[in-house]
Amino acid sequence: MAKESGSSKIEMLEISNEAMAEAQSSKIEMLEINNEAMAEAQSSKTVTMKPAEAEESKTETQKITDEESKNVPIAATEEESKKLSITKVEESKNAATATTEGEKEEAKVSLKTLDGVTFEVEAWIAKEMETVQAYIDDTSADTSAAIAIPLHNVAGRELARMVEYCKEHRRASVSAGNLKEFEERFAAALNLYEMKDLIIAANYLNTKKLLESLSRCIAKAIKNKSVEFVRDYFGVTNDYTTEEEAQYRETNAWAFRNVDEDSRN
Amino acid sequence: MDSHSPVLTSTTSLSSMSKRPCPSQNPRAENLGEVERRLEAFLSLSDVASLSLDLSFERLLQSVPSDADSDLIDRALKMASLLLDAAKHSSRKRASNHNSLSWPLPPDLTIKVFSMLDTQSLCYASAACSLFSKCAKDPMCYANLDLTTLVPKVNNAVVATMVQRAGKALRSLKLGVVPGATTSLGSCPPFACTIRNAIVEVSNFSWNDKRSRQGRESSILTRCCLSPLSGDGGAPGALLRKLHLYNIERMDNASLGAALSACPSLLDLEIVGLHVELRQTLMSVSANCHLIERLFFESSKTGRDDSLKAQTCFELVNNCPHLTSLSLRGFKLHDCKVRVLVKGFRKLKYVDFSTSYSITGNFLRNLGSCNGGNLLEVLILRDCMHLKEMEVAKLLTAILAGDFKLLVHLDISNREGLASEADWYHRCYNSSIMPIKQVLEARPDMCLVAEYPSAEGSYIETFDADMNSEISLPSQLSSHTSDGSIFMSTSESSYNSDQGSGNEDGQDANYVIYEESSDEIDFLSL
Repeated sequence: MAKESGSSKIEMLEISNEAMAEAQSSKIEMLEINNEAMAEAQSSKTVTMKPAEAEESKTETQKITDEESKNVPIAATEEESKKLSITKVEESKNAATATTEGEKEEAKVSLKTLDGVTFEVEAWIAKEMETVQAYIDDTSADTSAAIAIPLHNVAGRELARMVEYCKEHRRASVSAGNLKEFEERFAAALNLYEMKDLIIAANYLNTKKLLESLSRCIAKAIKNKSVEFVRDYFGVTNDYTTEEEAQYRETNAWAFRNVDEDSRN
Repeated sequence: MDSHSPVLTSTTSLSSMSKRPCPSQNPRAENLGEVERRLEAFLSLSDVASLSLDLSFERLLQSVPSDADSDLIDRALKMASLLLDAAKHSSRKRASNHNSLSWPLPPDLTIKVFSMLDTQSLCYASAACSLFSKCAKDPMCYANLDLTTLVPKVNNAVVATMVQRAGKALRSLKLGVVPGATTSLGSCPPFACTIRNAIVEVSNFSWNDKRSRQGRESSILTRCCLSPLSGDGGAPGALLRKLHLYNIERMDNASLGAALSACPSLLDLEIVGLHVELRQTLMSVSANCHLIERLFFESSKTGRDDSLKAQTCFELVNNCPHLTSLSLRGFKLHDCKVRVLVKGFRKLKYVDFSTSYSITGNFLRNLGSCNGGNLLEVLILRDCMHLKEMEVAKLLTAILAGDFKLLVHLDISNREGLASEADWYHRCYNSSIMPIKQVLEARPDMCLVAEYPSAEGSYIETFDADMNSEISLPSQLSSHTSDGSIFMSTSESSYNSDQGSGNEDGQDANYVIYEESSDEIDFLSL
């Protein structure tokens, strides 16, 4: 009974004059474009459209979806730049009002993480973080001493580890053997997720020594390991077809022949 | 009416596919929605037990005329195949999306990690998923090619492919068979002689492998394996800084010379177990690699290569002024030629002539008091068969007199003792003329290694107070180049590990290690 009534409604729509049909289809298109959530509800009405128009409508819907997905990072970037510009405005105001006569410049730099933690670090540690150092160079010495530098992309846990690394690295630099031992000990204390977070923070702050060390540790973790191990370790899924994977292994047959014992992990 | 997105995707693919086999059919607009609704209802049957579905299908077959049931079966099989393909396609798409969302590193950091892998591991990572495969295509991943393997399995085509992927980004190339290196680095550091014996074993393996396959070259490197360096207008070799070659049997003087002529920016050249002459190689280096800073050359036949000429030494000194590390092991090196080399290089800091023949030590006279040799920081003359006790004594006396001010590491150990003045067959185990103790007292900053067997065949007279703290020094010095990076050479690491057992505590370990090395040789023989 429900199907019969639906069919009769469709027939009535078809009987309507062309002008009304065009207006109706235009409205339907607008609804699809403006409100994606309503798309499923309107799916029954789309049957009134011609096949070509239906395909065009779907194509447009897909384009909108793609554009929305692309806009997400752009929006995030815009938000970030807005925050930065606001901060700069605030700083310029503070610079105008600050009274720094007679005050000695402190040897420490304040860093404020995205979760609100403020770190006081020595100037030489800040220098290791090239992003921070560039920020300091862009502002006058007086204001940089007084105001905490905001680090919007770095959490307190990561910054604490980075500061610890810089201090221990300097201490261990006396001999190459100690340095290597320190780097191995530092990396062994991190699980994979912590290492990933730290490497992203090091990349953002441009802390070259730490970035190099962490990259080497991740590379070391998958050196001489099987394909299955790499997938498990990094949490990625095999998205090859059976034929694609077989072809790849054939093309690089030398690497998959006589696999070393380590590779069986 | 609600449907899950995977099903929607499958439906879309299925609809478009199912239309193609029936182009003559004129689909009505209402079919689109109808097909999707039916498919959704059909897929809900997946919760039904397979036996129930089987019975339902049998009843369906019985309800149609007997001549039509085969057609129904064919249609069922076709539908199942189409549905399976659509589902697999959607599954892969979902997997790709998952990888893109869950992998936290941006592409440039992923490429950085991949660039630190050896080339085989890079192939494994690339095979993990398409996201990694995309990152692994970047030339930077192939900047440091490490194609060394325990057994032969890399052929010329592989080298060509990898060099081509690197293009002008190529900076480092390691190639050949390095037997037991991976194992020895991790656990048991063998002596230099053990490395050589293992090389012989692998050479035999290669020969047997070649014979058994009746000349098949699927996993053999030939003399042309380095041709890609000079291909594509010479771009791959133009900026190559590091070239390490191990036990490539078919490499000869001409092909090595051609390869070196394509590498004008070479800083670090290491050759172990190649059947190439010392003179020819040094002539090629002298003619083509004017920027070289580190040269490590170990003969494939200890004590038999006597090809070096004084003229070649002069040319090398003149054309390669930046050399800071020189290792020539296992060659016949006469004192007069060695003297030309050691005095001539203005920046020479690291010298290693271990297992060389014909060196008596005469070249050391008056060396530390002039420009050429006074910059030496590391001097290794380990197991030099003709090294004379008298010459070593004179060296130590010169050190006491204030020469060799910068020397921090000296190794004059010899497994068979030092040569006597008159007859090198007569070996000295307990020296009464070498002021070893005095040197240790006068130069506490210097690490002096002097291990000699006693008449009973065990090691005694080991002197080293600071060995542990300075074990990495020779390697660091020898591997440092002007671009600031540290190259850790496999053979270098293996050999330096010997020195780690130079102290008194290490003496027993030294003996034990030797036993383990013997076991390793037996293992390789099997």
